Amino acid sequence: MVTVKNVSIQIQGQKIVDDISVTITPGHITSFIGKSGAGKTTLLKAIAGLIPTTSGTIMVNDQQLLTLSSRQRAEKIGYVFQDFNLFPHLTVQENCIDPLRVHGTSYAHAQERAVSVLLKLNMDGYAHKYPHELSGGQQQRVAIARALCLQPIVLLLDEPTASLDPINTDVLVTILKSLASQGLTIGLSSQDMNFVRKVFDHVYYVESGSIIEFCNDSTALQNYPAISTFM
Amino acid sequence: MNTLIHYAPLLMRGAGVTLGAWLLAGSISIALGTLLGIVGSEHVGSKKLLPIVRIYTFITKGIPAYVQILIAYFVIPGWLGINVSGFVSASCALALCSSGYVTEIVRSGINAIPQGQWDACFVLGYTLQAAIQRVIAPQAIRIALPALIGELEQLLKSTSLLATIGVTEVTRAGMNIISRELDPFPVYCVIACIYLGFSAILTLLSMYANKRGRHGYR
Repeated sequence: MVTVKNVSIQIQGQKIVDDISVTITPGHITSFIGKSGAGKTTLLKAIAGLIPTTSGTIMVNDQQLLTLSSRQRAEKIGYVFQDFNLFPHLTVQENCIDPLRVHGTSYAHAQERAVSVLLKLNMDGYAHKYPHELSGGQQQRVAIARALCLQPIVLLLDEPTASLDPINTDVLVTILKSLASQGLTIGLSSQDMNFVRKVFDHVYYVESGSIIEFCNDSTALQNYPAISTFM
Repeated sequence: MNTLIHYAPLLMRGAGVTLGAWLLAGSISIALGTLLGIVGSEHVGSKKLLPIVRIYTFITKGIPAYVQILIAYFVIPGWLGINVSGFVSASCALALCSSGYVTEIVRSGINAIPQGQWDACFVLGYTLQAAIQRVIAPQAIRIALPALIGELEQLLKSTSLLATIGVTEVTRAGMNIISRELDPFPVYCVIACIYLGFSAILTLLSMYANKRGRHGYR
């Protein structure tokens, strides 16, 4: 579980996130929706440790994010970038193996884990391809596989459908629902309302760096004007 | 032809000196330039070190190689009270001169790697050293390789400056032969061919490296 308490983030004197408190719970898909520049990605990046917070605390399973070493943080929080950021000089399998090797896992063990995760995501047939040889949807599944290889308890995805067609979006929905059902804590930012409708679980509406609404019941959307208008 | 056969050992010895100076200066230049290029890059360099790297490259790039050779041979050994051969001092001077360019090439190669690659390393828990070794350097080398090869070719040609302080490298050896035989054309042709031969080896190596480094790129 990720608990964000009164977090504010200021970048070059500008407040991007303003006193936000949210909880991302295990077994659920927590979506942060809102217009461009609302602060969704900044919040996710702060949870992943990529952006320092100005004030407030971020806890991952009762452990302060700031007290975690980079290795511990990476083993707890997986992050999938909007543009995936796969390593272009490494094959799909090597992209999955390399972080494990950096964390001290033996090559044989790392390879075994990479193969099993790629198999789960239906990417085992592409293990020896390079990222540029894959479609956007396939690259994203590799990015998810790379994150999952470190066996994190939290998976964060930034605008996961930004470069996906409807078919790949449906594949992603299936994957995320399956991962959530296995107890993974999933948080994502999105502006794709078709996608959010499909993964509707816990939804936060973010505007100007603040949480405006929280909804965890898709059948009662009429009670949440900001979310229902946006969707 | 007889002249060339007669003087072939002299030319070969000169070619050996040229090759030695090139390898010595090139090794120092690449090692020093790579280190300073990494230290001077946006993501790695500290604010304290960046100005030092900038000043270093400004000086080494700004002073002609010839002047640096003269300083390295005639001034610095005297200051330090040591005796250094012309070969070593001139090779070191060429290395320093070239390292300024290599620093800039490596620095710009690293700076060209998208921020996303650094971010990916960060979220995956890479240490800075692991990120550079496993992710950044392989990509940066691919970007910097053509310019590095160009710099090494330039360095090869600059080794002819060793002749100015009396080191008998291949150009000087040729000039010695010409002054005795007064038949410059064949000798200059052989000297040119020797330089072209070294350049060809470098080109082949770069093609091989480029081919190996192309994996994973369109």
